[in-house]
Amino acid sequence: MSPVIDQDDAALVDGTKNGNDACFAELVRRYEGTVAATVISMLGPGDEADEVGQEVMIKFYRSLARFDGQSTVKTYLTRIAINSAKDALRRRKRNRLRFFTPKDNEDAWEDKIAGLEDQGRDVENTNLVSFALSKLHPDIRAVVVLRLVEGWSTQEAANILQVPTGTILSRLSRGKIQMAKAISGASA
Amino acid sequence: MIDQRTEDLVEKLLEGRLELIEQVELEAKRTENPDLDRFIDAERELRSMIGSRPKPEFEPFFDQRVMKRVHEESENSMRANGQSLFDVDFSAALARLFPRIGIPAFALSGLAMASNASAASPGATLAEALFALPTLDAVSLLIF
Repeated sequence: MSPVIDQDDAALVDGTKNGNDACFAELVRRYEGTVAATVISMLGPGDEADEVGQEVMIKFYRSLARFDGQSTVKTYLTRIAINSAKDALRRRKRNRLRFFTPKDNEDAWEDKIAGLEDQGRDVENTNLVSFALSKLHPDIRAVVVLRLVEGWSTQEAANILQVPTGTILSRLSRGKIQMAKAISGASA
Repeated sequence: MIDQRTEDLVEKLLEGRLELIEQVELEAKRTENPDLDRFIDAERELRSMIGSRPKPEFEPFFDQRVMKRVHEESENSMRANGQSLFDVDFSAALARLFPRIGIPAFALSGLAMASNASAASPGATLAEALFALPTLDAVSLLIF
């Protein structure tokens, strides 16, 4: 039998279903970057994103019995990642409403950017982009992340989010306008 | 104002997917709309900002953290219901519960209904007899 690193996704999925954990560990290594790009772009970096990333992989593992290979592992995982990140945003909103005002979160971002400036550093693209993404509604953010951050096509993004392509186009259009405004506002 | 078609063309231009006929269409739109060049520049700048940021990554040893959780949750799942973690989803859980709980429950209901039916009063309806319900007359007496 070939080492797991040489096996294709279908073989790794089959191996996992047959109880070979090394196959699942290889799938995790192979798609860690995809999940990280989606989850961190949706939530921002930190412990919460790491936790949600782990949840994504666990949900994937749990659902392997139902995974029929009709979509690729990457598409399937991205769909789980987007949905899990949106769930986390809803939890965050509930907690924020319970313990803080919405203004607190905006202030936290602005303090973070101001903090970087105080340290004599330019506001980096990374922070500006993350800040601008954080200003978007989760549905719009998901589209921007899939289309512009991860480079999925409009059709692929529509498949992942299970919405019509027209919805992807209109959300992307709104998202870009809102991001441009947020970036120009933050860097002014 | 930039319409959806123009946005599509700009998107294709920036992603290097513009076909020759679309290139001609976009050039015509550029001549007609003086704001279009500004729009293209803004789009290019936004994409370049997004593209130039480092790819987000989890902290090191993410795979080990995931595998640790898989093992922990699998052990818990085995202890709780004797199944590995990826067998456990809601429909599978229902399917497993049915033979253990559903079939005995149906059998017990059948037995109860059979014994009630034989002991039912002569004027009772089928439902009253099967579920040992008081007859309508008896209920009316209780209410009034």
